[in-house]
Amino acid sequence: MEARDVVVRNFDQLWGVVERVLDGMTPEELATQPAPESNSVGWIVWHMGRVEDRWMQQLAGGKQLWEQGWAEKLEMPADPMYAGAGMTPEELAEFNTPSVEQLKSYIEAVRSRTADLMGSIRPEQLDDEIEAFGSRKMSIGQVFSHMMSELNQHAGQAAYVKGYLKGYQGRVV
Amino acid sequence: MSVKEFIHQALDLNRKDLLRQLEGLSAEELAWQPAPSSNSIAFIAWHMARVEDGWVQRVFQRQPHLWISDGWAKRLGMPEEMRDLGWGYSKEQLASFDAPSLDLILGYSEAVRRATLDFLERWDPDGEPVEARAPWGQPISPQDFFAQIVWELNQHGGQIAYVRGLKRAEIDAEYTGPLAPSPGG
Repeated sequence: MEARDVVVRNFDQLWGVVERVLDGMTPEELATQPAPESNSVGWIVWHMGRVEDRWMQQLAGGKQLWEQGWAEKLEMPADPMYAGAGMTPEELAEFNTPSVEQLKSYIEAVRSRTADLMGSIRPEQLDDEIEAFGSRKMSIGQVFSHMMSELNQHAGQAAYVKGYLKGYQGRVV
Repeated sequence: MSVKEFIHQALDLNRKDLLRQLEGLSAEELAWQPAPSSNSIAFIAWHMARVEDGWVQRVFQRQPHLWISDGWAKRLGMPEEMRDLGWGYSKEQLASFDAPSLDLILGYSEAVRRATLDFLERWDPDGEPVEARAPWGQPISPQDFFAQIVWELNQHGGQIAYVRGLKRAEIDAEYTGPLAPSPGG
């Protein structure tokens, strides 16, 4: 087993959780915020897709998928920085929550690009450093640890909010 | 980077996040449930440590949980019952869960984590396969477990952060996700 296998398993598992969370949610439920400072399931899942898209662009180069038509498909600003971090309660309230279908298709595209990249990563490359977002020196291994931490935390949140809104719906893990 | 180093790094990151997520919470905040079928922060943090303890001690080393052998159940004033990891609780059980103090939760989870890192240190990914069975009966290897514990602990950690924000109407000012503006510009 290599570190890459840990990452691939984590990504498969957490996106599986997201898929089961999205199943059976109405547009209203998807957009519901438990409180003005708290994110909706739709927002969380969209943000997760944006996080993975942005990191994969950092690792693979080129442009984010967001800049290649996906922003338009989700009816949002094509700004590559438009990804959710630092939004105010007012911005959250105005957020144009995508549909389940829009979210699933964007995530599928992002994950497919990730799979291509993961297929070519060799163990020794995990020690290579990149200048993440032009400011932070990180090894590729650190990027993956960070992504696992962030994406898993958000997947857990999406599952939690669904349970909060709808009551216990059976295991999603 | 070896798989062991990578797992160690992921576990350290998880621990660092958990400590920040729990920092400064009052007893009332720890025990608060947003809804009758939603878990409190104390329950989630306790469950995380119980699960990790069960895997490392019982499943892989066939010995009693630290919950019992190290006296933690007694300290937390809870039953010395290895089967109780927090799975399958009814709303009534959640409502009557006696939330431990932050110090006790952190003490127990730290002891569990030390034992996990010790087990990770001794594990040889290229050595003889370790035979173990998950509580649901299927064979599970240490590598399966380590991959799983990373998603399980982080997903629960994210829930703690969410409930904290929900309770406090708190925006995480220290959040430095990958997309936040870089320091100094």
